[in-house]
Formats: sequence, C-alpha cells, structure tokens
Amino acid sequence: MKSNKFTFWKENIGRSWYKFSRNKLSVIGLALFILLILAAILAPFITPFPKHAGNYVDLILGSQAPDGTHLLGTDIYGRDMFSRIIFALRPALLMGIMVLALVVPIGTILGLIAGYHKGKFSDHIIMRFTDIFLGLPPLILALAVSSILKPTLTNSMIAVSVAFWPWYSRLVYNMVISIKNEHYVISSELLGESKIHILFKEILPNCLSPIFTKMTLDFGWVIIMTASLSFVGLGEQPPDPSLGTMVAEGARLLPDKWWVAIYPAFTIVLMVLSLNLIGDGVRDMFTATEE
Amino acid sequence: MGDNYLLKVENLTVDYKVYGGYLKVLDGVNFYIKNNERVGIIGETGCGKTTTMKSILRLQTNNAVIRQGKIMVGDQNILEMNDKDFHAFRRKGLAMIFQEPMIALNPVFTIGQQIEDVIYYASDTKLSRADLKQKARDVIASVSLPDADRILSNYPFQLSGGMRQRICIALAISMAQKLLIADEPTTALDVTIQAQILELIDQISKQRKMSLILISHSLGLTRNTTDRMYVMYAGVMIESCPTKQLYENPLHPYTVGLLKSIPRLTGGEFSNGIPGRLPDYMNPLPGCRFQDRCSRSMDICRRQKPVEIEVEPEHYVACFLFDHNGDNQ
Amino acid sequence: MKDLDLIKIENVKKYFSIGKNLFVKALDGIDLEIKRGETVGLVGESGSGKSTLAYTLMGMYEPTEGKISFKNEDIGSKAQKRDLSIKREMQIVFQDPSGSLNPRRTVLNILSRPLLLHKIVKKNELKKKLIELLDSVELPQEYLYKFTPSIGGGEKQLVAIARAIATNPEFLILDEPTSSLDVSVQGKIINTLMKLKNKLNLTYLFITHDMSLMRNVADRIAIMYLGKIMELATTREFFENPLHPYTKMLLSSIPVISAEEENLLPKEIKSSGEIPSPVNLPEGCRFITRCPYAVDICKNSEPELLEKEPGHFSRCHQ
Repeated sequence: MKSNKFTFWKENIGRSWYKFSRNKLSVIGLALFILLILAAILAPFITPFPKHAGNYVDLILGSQAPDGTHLLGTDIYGRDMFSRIIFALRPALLMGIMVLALVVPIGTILGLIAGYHKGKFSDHIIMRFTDIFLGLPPLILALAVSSILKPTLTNSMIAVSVAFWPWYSRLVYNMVISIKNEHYVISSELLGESKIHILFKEILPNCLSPIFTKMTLDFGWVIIMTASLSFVGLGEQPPDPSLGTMVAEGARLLPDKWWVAIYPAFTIVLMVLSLNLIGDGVRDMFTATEE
Repeated sequence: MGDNYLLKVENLTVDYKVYGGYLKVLDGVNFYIKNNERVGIIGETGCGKTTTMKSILRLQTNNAVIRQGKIMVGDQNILEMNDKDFHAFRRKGLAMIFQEPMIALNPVFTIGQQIEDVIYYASDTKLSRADLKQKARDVIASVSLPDADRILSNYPFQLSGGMRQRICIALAISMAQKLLIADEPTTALDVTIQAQILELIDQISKQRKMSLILISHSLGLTRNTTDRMYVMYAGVMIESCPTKQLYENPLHPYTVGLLKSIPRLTGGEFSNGIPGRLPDYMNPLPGCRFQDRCSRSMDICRRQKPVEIEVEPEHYVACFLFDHNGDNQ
Repeated sequence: MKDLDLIKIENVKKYFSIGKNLFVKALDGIDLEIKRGETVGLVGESGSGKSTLAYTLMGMYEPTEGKISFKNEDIGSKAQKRDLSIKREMQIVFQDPSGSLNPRRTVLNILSRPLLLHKIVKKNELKKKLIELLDSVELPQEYLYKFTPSIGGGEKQLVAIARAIATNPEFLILDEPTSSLDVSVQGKIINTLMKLKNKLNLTYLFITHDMSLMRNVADRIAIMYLGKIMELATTREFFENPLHPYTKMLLSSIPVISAEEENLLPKEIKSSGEIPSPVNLPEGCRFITRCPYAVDICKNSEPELLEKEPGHFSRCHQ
C-alpha cells in the first residue's frame, strides 16, 4: 500500500526535474553550484596550498602574478589566491545555509500566524513590525546590526538574518490570506480542527512553492551581503579567508595587481549567478503547466 | 464536394509533448462545417474539443505537434499557410468566443479601448477616431445593449457576467464574417442569461449568415441551436448526425450512455453515467478509444480502430457495433 | 410538530458592509423550516444569496439579524463558537472538489481527520472504518493513498461526500454538488447521494441551478432572488403550477433534451432589464426591473411571502 506514495513521489520528482531541466541555463547553474559545494567540502584536499588559508606570511612571494605554481597569483601576504578562494567558499556557503535555516522558519511562522488572523491584533502587531523592518534597506540594516556586535561570522549571520526575515513573513502572509479562504481550509474549520493543525497541516504545505523559489534566490543575496559586510571589515576576521575581505585587501592594489581583487570578486559573481540560474529553473519547476 | 464546405478538418492528429513522452490527444479528427450552418460539438472535459478549435485558429501552445491531417478552407490547407497569409485570413474570417468572459477581456482597459483596438487592427482602411468611436457604438448596439457610451467607458469588472459575454460576442462578430466558434459560451452564466445569450448567438449567426461551431458539455443547450451535431470522445468524432437524430436515435454507446444519465423533467430514473475516465493519452490502448468504458465492447474493439460509417443518411458512427467490415466479421 | 423541524430559519438577514454606510444585502429576511428526512431544494441565480444562506447555516458567517435553530437549539453564531456536537451533525459538500479537498493531503489523511477529531472510532479501528467509508461511496481501497489532484472530478466529489458523512451527521448541505463535473459522472454522484440519504436517514438542503436535477431530488423547492425567497412549494406544485413570475421565467429557460419535457415548460418569458445592484435595491418588489407583469403596486410596496394555496407560498402582489 505504501508503494502508491513512493511512486507518487518518484513521479513528482521526475516531473519536477523535467520542468527544471527544460531551462538549459538552470542546469548549468545547478552543475556549477554543485561544483562549488564540492570544492568547499573538499577544500583541504584539492587546494595546492591549504596552509595558506590560515596564518601564513611570505612577503617575498607577496602579490605575485598568476603563474604555474599559483594559478590565480598570490595576495599581499604571499598566500596562494586559488587556495584561499576555495576555502573562502566555506563561510559563504555556510552563511547562506545558516541564515536561511534561521530566517525561513521564523518568517514563515510569523507570516502564518499573522495571515490567518488577518484583521486581528496579532496580524497588526506582526505585520507592522515586519513593515518596519521591510522599510529599511537590508544592507544598511545588516551594517547597523553588525556594527553593534563584535565582528565575527556568527554575528554577521545574525545581522543578515535581521535584514532577511521580514521578507518571508510578508511572502507567507500574502499567501495565507488567500489560501485561508479556500474551501479545504474552511472545511477543516467547520470540522472543529485546532488552529495548529490548520496552519501547519492544511495551509503551510500549500505555501511551499514560493518559499523554495525565494530561498534559492535569497541564497545569492545572503552571499552578497556577507561579502559586503566583510568588505567593510564587519564579518569574518582575517586571517580566516572571506571573499569580501579579500576583495577589500585587493582593492588597494588595483589596477596593477588586479588579480588580488578581481578573482575573489569574480567568485562572488559566479556563486550568485549560478544561484540565480537555478532560481529560474526552480520557478519553472513549481509552475503548474496545462496537461 | 468543393464549394459548400466552409471548413473541413481531415484526419487531424495532434500530440502534446510533455514530461514522459507525448500525449496523443487528437487521433484523426474528421469534421466539416458548411456555409451558413450551425454545428454543435459535445464532449467531456479533456476530449480534445478545445485542441481542435485551437488548431483551426492556429492558437496552439508551443508543445503541440501536428502529426498529420489537413484543415481545408476552400482549396487551401490553413495548416500549411504561412503566418502572414494566415493572419490576414483569420482576421477577416474567423473569430472565437471563450468560456470565461472575465478572462477574455483585459481588466485594465476600458471596453471602448478594447473594441476600438479590434476594429482598428482588423480594418483595411485607416479609420479616424470619430469613425472608431461610432463603430464601437454600433458594436454595442448589435448585441442589444443599451447605453453604449456608458458601457464603452466602463471597465470589465463594472459589468455583469452576462454583459461581459455579450461584449465578447460583439467583439468576435464585429470583424468576423464567416465563422464564429463559441466554446462553452454560457457555462459561467446564470440560466436565464444563458437563454438570452444563446438566442443572441442564434440570431446573429442567422442574420449574418455566419456559420457557428457551438461547443458544449451540456446536451440541453445544443438541442435548439444547432443543425448538426458531433459527439467527441478522446480525440475522435465518434458520432455525427443532424441534431434531431442525436436526441431521438443516438447510436454510439457513449452517446446513449450520456443521454441516459441526464435527469429529466419528466422524472424517472437516470443512470450513474459512464463509469471510468478518459484513456491515458500517453499510452492509449490500441483499437477503439472508448473500449474500457464501453459496456458493449467486443474483441475487435481492442484490436482495430473503428472508422466513421454512415449508418443512416447523414448519421455517422465510429463503432464496430455498426461496422461489419472489421477483420472478424 | 416541533420535533419534526430539524432546521428553523427565522427572519435571517445577512448584510455585508462595503463601507460608506452601504451594505450588500445578501440575505434580507429568510424564513424557512427544513423537516427531518426531507430534501429541500434551493434555487437561485448568482446574487440570489443561496450560497450565503448555506454558509450562514454552517456557521461560516454570523447572521446580522434573525434566528437559526438546529433541533431547537439556537446556532446563530460562527462555527468556532458552536458545540462540537453541532459541528458533527451538520456538514456541507462544496461545489468544487478541487477546492474543497487539500491537494497536498492524501485521501487517507482527509478522511481520517473527521473520524479522529469527533472520536467516531478508536485509532485501531480507523483503517477498517476508512475502507467502509470508501465502500459506501463505491470507491476502491487503493484511493486511500492517492493525492486528490490525481483523481477525476467525479471521484473527488465522492471523497468530499465520504468526508461529509464520516461524522454520521443528520443534516447535509449540498452546494451545487455536480455543477463543476462532467455530465458523464453527474448521475453517479446524485444516485450515490440519494442512496446515502435513505441508508443514513439524512436531511438535505440541496442547492443547484439545474432544474431537471431539482425535479428529481427535491421534495420541496424554495427559489431565491436578491436575498429573499420568492416562492416556496412542493416540487410538483413548483413545476406544474408556478405562481411567481421569476419562477416562470426560470422554468422557461431550462435547457431540456426532449420534446416531451419542452411541453412541460411555461412559454418563454423574455427576460429583459438588468438585475439591480444588491446595494441599491428598488423600492417595492425587487423583481420589478425584470418582471413583465409589474403594475403600480409593485413599485410602491414590497410583497410578503404569503400562502397562496395550501403549502404553496409566493411573494407577489398578483
């Protein structure tokens, strides 16, 4: 009997992949992103100079142009750019995962509660609070929070989360206010179901599509924001490698020793680009097609 | 056979490309309509009636593949016309009104703007603004709507469903000369308005000697508004005959089953309808597409596809109960 | 006498405020009794208020005025405030099963909830009861594990019906149960509903615009127009001796499929004029804008729903 559920999911995944893969660029984006994840995980094994990702200084080799040994050159401290960039992928990806893991549940739950109680006190409180945060430019907000806290990876995660949560709250809120009028929700209410059941078992499963699509695109934004924070020195501190810090360090050396700034910047672009390409595919995946 | 036919669909076979393969929706559709004739098409949701109409208007989605078949208008196969010629032809000759009047009208433009647009683009000569306005008023009047200026300045949401559908009809007929396709034109409307709209369509088609294709899932609606009927099932025209005969002497088991399941004003029992569902278009069984729901299916139905046979004058059925040319008979 | 009335609706009004002191008078004084065991049919076009009445009975809306009693108990409040037992005894089947069944839940989940919530069975008897339930609407066991988007319209509606009868209700509202289904499956739904009614001793409020269907299922019929009942009579009287002009207009528009049925219908009454806005109802009779028989008195005073013949009520001055 359980086989029906299995075949249903199998077919569902197959169909979703079909829709996703119709967009060739999305598949490229996905491949690229998977490559980046693997590179981050396998960093100690695939980089030529893993020690350069830590406290290593060799000023003689400082700011060397890219050559055979150092594929992407060295930075001002003589550290291999390629190795540092690969290691820098870790905090970037970690930030994306952690921020979303924090922001999505909180924003979703708030949106569910506010949307379901539209017009009532809890709606007003939650959504006005959301609106306040939405009104502030996210980067400024993240910078402000960051500057109050000590500059660490964890704290920049908190700062970026503060800037991101209201978007999910608003997204889910908008979905809930229309879903709650669907007859299947009303049927549950008329039956006497508890609110918890209705919110999490009836309404939430129908909100997942836009949430997932947004998550894919937001991952890229989180990376950019993280890089921005560390660019101004409010994120991961040296000597731990962070793309934003690396761009900052290299900025002073432009345009002569361009590789120090350009390669980390390019990596950021690559990460965000791959995520945006995936985002297009995810959106298509969730679009119901006429069959 | 030539000049009395307005449109002739021959052996139209259309697939849709989807995840997992192809949906073989139309399986050799044969259909014709003469000048100044009203034809009804009855069929359940998913039987292919909209696909057929879209093929005629060449409004198909990207994933539609025409495997074979012709759609002849006069001596031209419109499936082979180039885009430019076809657009000119469609603009002057054909028009379609859809089921949901709210979707067919653009909610952010006034009625007047939308009508004027149609007139402007369909017209051969350049029309002045005053001309356009007057023609728009004429269009409103042609569907018996009073107060033309007020309606022209209204947005679709300000009008009732019945009025919106009238406007869609007006738009459709304002430029079309030869053929009007009405796809479930009254499904979204109340019964009293329904009667009005059907009468309007009837009146207009007779007045302008336009041919009419009326698509519906309701057998009650097509009875008094058509001259000839087609019953469509799973991409095949399984029965066709003059309207009166369909109701008095239905032949195909599907048609018979359908009529038996309709509640009557005269009371009495009505059946459970036709058990089962439309076939899997991805992997249709060989032979007759109705075989798995037919209470009278025979061995041959599973092996061969029935073709349309003339059982009585003008009464065609695609069924082996009437076709004795099958391989084992 | 009192014991027979399962539902008693007394002068129920439901006004929706649309700001600026304007109201949409969806229900404007409804009086109706539904006796145990009967099927009362409710007819009306869009804007008539028939769905509003159904929703108000179920507790989706609270009446602006008036009293609703179920088994002599006042239930004129929103569903949340009602007793669990009332919720168990009154159920509704909505028009569109694609909307009334959660596309993200299996049939098993959907049908289990009413059984568990109202403690109809214990957990260990759940599976058995579910199969029984599917049986009573003639659906195979395998459907338990299906998600509703993968099953056909008619079958979805059968699941919705199964859900409604799961709690062993006494009263069922059917809001256009077959209107969004294909003709080929409508018969099954209706026949199933009638079988269940007899088997489980149910009382139905049956809403539909399909008059031929109404003829075959209803014992009594009420026709609504802009929030008021225009005519109320037994089915036979309704069709053979319609009194109200609106009823006659409606009956003359029914699309039928045979000449003998056509002969039963009143001669066509041309429907002219537009439906007035429910925010701005005319003085006097609300049907005046479309009535071919309107005279002066109709413009000035609104007629009452009077018993013109035994058991046959009409709201018309003539």
